[in-house]
Amino acid sequence: MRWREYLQRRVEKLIPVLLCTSYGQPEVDLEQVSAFSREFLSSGTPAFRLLYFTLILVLEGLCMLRLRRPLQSLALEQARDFLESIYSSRTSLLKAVPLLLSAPFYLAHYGREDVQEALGFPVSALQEEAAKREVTR
Amino acid sequence: MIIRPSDISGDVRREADVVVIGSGAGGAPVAKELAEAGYRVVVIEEGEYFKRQDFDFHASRALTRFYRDAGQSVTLGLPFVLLLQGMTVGGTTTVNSGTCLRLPRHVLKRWHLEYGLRDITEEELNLLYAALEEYLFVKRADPEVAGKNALLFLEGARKLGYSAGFIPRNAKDCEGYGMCPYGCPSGAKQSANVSWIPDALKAGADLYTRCRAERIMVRSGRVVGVRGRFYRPGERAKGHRLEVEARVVVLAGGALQTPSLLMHNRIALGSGQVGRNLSIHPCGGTIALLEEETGNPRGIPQSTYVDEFAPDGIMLEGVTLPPPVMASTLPWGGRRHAEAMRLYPYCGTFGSMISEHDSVGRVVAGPSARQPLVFYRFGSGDLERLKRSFLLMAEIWFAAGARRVFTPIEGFREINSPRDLERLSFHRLKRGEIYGLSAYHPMGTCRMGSDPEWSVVKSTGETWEVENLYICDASVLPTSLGVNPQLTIMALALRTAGFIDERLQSSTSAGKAGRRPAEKGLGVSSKKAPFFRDRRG
Ligand SMILES: Cc1cc2nc3c(=O)[nH]c(=O)nc-3n(C[C@H](O)[C@H](O)[C@H](O)COP(=O)(O)OP(=O)(O)OC[C@H]3O[C@@H](n4cnc5c(N)ncnc54)[C@H](O)[C@@H]3O)c2cc1C
Ligand code: SF4
Repeated sequence: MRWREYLQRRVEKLIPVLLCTSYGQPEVDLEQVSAFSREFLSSGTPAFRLLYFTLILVLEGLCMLRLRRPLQSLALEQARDFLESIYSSRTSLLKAVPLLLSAPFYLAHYGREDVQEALGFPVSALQEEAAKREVTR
Repeated sequence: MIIRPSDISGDVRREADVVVIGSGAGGAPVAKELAEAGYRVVVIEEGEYFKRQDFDFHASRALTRFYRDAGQSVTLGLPFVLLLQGMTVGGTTTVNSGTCLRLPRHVLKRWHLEYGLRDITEEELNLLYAALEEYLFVKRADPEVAGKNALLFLEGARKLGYSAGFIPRNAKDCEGYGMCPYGCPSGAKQSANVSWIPDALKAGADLYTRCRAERIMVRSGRVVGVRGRFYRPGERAKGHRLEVEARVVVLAGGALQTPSLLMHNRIALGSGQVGRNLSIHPCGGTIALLEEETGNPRGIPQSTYVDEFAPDGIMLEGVTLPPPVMASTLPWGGRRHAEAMRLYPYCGTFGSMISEHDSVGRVVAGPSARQPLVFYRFGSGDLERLKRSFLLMAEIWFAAGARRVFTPIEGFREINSPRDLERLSFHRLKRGEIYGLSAYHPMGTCRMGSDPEWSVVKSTGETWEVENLYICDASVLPTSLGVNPQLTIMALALRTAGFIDERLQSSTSAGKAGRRPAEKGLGVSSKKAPFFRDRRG
């Protein structure tokens, strides 16, 4: 149990580093992203969870190798710069590390109704419309 | 009747004529047909029964609720392929796009010549398809709700003179909510959870949900029943037991779970083919940056296709991605990702699907029957076909007015001009250079054939080795189809239901328990009786 909590805390630390929003878009809600990521990882396979947590260690290892500092000790912008260097790496497997790690965060943040509405997808209006309209056979 | 884990307070033991494991494209039609023929049918489904109100436009939540393993299964081998399957009443049909295409004639010919399946005739299949299309309200996508994304791509394809059109789909009064793969919020899509299963229940079938079949009971070479376990969401501990003694067992858990169950039960393995011959129709997607807003994801997600290259094994089919899914598939991270998502309203999306020629896939028993391992190795020809599909999609997007096209190929993530296209066409794609592939159609892992030496089931769907054990799902399809498979799976399921009826009738006349009188007023044919009996006259 402790081990799980420890890993979840590592995941939470990564959220602001991996998840950026652009000007004018709703801010990231760390709690919401963290809660969804927990649910997403626990509904998946043990193999995926293992891979996910291994990749966190890989990312942290890479940071130690390249910057000689733990990822958690970097300021937010420094950490993001470090990640940019990985995204622009020529090795696609290396690039895949942060991409895979951020997938649950993206699913969580962009799954929010206000975020989807800001991108032109009116979720709540459609929910209301669909509720009124049942197709029967 | 639907029986959920919360409805029972202890182990359940009962009898039935037929047990169907899985309620998807294969299992649900068999359950409905046999229940309407008057047999006592029990359906065991690992997933939950969701109602229309549960399909609430939340794609991220849908992944964790309606998909097996929250949609996280991947193939082992380079490149990785995300392999999606539904786990809910209705199986994958509940989360599929509703496309209903018939088996191409050349594929049936191959089944005749290479797999000895001559008794599956074109005439019979056409009859079955026609009945299915009537039952499922199949018609071509309505251009009014097809979505701007699809219409733009179609226009591009037509400008280039490619054969393209609107896809036939099983939706009645579709409003183009764009949510088919996350559960249809209006009930328009005629997935098994709103068609076959309710009709099976009306005809007297019993459906156990959140119950996983674990043991197939065999005595003296003949199947005699199934044992399963209930479980509650989020609970690790196993729940109560279900044991059903039955005369016939139909295995319809899908092309990954069915072979896994056979391997864990060590039955029907004599041909050495269980789990082999896996094909998946690998899919890739392109994103185009357009001058105008596309309105995505509104509109039918898969409403148009380009079939010009189908003879070469390349089908281009529409796809739209709601914001969370688009965000998790973009090939960038960090600030660049955020910028790209800001342009979401201007992004068009389209996908390609490859019919395999030289790739090799296999399902191997994993640590538990629930979690088989899936190995998949791309052949160089298929990799080349995949690359060509990206070239074609980019070409069409440019003809449709795109400014830029994004692909998941390393070194070609961004295509800005015909020169980039030319560069990609000369590039020899390597396995590690492509990211973000997915697949939706696992098939072939218990293939049908005319010889027990190299096939797992007969053309009737019965396994060669275990009497009265039938397989009726995507795993029996002997080859990659080149088109979306649900209609063909259902057609073979109706056919198999007919053979099961024959078997049960002959064993009844030999002195076994009889069936209830057949229900009238249901059934897929106009004569309002189960379809397979209509065909026999
Ligand atoms: C996103 C997506 C879109 C698709 N779009 C299309 C489309 O537009 N057109 C098309 O033709 N095809 C489409 N497909 C594919 C199509 O839906 C499947 O090929 C088809 O549903 C497979 O049918 P099946 O019976 O083999 O398995 P499924 O439909 O997957 O049903 C198997 C069921 O068995 C259950 N099960 C498995 N093992 C057990 C067990 N041990 N005990 C109890 N229950 C068990 C599973 O939970 C599942 O509900 C799509 C697939 C996906 C993922
Ligand atoms: S487009 Fe919308 S209304 Fe139409 S079938 Fe799909 S989810 Fe249902």
